[in-house]
Amino acid sequence: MAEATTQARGGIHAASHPPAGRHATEPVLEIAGLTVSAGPVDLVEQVSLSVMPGETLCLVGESGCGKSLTCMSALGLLDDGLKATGSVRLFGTETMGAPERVINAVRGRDVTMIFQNPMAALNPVKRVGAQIAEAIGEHTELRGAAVDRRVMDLLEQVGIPKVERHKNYYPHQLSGGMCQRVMIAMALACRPKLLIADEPTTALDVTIQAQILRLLRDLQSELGLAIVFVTHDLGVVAEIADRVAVMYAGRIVEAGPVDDLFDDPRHPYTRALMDCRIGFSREPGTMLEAVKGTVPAPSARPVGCNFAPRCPTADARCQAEPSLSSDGARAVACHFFDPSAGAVRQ
Amino acid sequence: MNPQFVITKLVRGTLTLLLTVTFVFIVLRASGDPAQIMLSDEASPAAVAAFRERWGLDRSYIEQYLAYLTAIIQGDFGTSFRDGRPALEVVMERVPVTLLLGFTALLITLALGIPSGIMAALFRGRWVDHATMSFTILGHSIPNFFLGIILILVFSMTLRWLPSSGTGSIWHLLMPAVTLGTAAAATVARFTRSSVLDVLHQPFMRTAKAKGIPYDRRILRHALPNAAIPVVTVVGMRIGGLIGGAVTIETVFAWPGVGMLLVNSVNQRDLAVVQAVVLLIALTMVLVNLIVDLTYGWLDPRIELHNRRAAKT
Ligand SMILES: Nc1ncnc2c1ncn2[C@@H]1O[C@H](COP(=O)(O)OP(=O)(O)OP(=O)(O)O)[C@@H](O)[C@H]1O
Ligand code: SF4
Ligand SMILES: [Mg+2]
Repeated sequence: MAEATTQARGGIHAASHPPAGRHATEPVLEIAGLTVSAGPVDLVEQVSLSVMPGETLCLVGESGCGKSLTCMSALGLLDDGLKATGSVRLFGTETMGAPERVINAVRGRDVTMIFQNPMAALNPVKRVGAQIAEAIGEHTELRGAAVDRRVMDLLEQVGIPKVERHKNYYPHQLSGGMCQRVMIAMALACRPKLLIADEPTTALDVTIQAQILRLLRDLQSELGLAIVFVTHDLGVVAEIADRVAVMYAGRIVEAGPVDDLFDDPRHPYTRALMDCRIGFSREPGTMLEAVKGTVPAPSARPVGCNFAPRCPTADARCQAEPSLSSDGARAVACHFFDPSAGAVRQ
Repeated sequence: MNPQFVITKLVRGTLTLLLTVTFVFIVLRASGDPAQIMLSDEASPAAVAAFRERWGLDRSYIEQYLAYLTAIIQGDFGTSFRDGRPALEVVMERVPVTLLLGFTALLITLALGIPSGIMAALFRGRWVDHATMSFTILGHSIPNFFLGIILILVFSMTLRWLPSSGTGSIWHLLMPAVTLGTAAAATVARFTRSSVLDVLHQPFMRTAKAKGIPYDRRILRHALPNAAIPVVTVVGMRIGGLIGGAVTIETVFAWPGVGMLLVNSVNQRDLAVVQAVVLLIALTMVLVNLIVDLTYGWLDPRIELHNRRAAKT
């Protein structure tokens, strides 16, 4: 397994665009062989990925395939009941199994996260402005009125109107979309180097979504911000991704540069995703409906390839688990993928 | 806090008081001739006549009710036949003694219940948690008066460390206050524990962690303010329990407060005093509830909206 992991990582790396940041040689986030389990059930299995400075990695896949758990593992934020093994390196430092102060040296300042459910992710008894101010006070030298000004700047940047008034609102007084923008403002408050965004634009209308994506791109060219972006929306992927990792049932099944993946998907699951994108709207949730069947629950995953029950090309070989192998540009976990040939044999 | 919320609560409290007064009035009238009930058997015919005159007993019930209400609002609860003074005066001079006991018991409740509940939650499944939970089970299952008697047996009779009855020193206060506060502390500890545990699993706690806030400040600034909300309600409810408990405990420890006055007055059929105590307790309960509601509204910004919606529908 270790061999496959190394291979896979190599593959994803080789595919990355020339990064914009200064420390171009070292990934800001490097996950290797991550497995998250709840008791005997593995929810996430052997996930490896890495993100270079200034790069955007999109994580896509159906609901329940482990995207959020992967993101939370990266920041050491899993629930107590869950166990993570493998390796997570942030800015070159191993955080898996390290004491909390190790990760706290970067968490909230150099690496921040936007959560999937913004309303629940905000403290209900604190004003939203104060919640953003807390992050600023924790990690910067700013105090008092300077913090307040920064809060209002941030809220304006994420497109919140009447910031003077809205910063004093409690989360329940704001809409889901507004809460999401508060979350985004909070995550960007200390100018992070890595942003992990778990479906950050799902509750937003198209105009605001475009504004947020523009803001992220600006920060990217300005600060060399690296982004892990979880989304269901392939339109957004096409717009912002440098590379894409496709997850299915707790595993990465394909990873590579965005153009390659869109033009020539290799894994049968990715292909199905791309097929149903054509002629479909960008509505979240619609992209996967054309793939017949549903994702198996973590406790009911099949022997061998997790995708086999839904796979149009499955055969006897698929009783064995395919490992993620790379042809240099692309990593694919399918027995039909031949790295040396550079194409899935039909 | 929005004014509508405060006004709603005030109106509700006033209505509760009015209901209690009305209820007391009806009970008094329904149980026979008030002159016979309120005055002692040996009362002179002149005194009976004066009583009838004063409460307008020969007029209609509506007029009697209004007269009664007016008198109550003016603080006139009638005269204690036992010592001839106004009933309110008799009761009020006992109030400080009971308040002293009540507040000490409340202090014990909070000082014992809240920290142990928090600790039990933070160290869930460890010995602090087990110890607290065992204590709460004990605190719940032992009736107040029984605990009082046990304490007297141990600390007064056997060890002879503490006085078993009366007032005068802090040593007199100790046993009744502990007895009264223990059961309430058990409830408060249990509620605090479950409230904190619940909050610890909320997504916003994960957000605080992701922001890089260290553990102790996550607990202090994010978990506890949220966990306090249900605890305030329970504490408020337990204050009602403390008032009820004071009656028994004052009797057990011969603590000369309102509770003991009530028991004595019932025994001696000094109904003017009984009536004054009952209405005073009702007033206290309403005030406590009001304070709890206002604290709640202050702690939880969502409550106002909720109440505004409820008020509209
Ligand atoms: N604390 C937990 N205990 C047990 N199972 C969990 C826990 N958290 C998540 N899971 C399970 O792990 C799987 C992956 O969850 P995850 O939230 O990572 O999915 P996701 O890809 O983010 O899906 P979505 O697109 O719906 O957000 C799901 O089947 C989920 O039910
Ligand atoms: S390994 Fe087999 S079942 Fe799995 S995706 Fe490839 S062909 Fe389909
Ligand atoms: Mg998710």
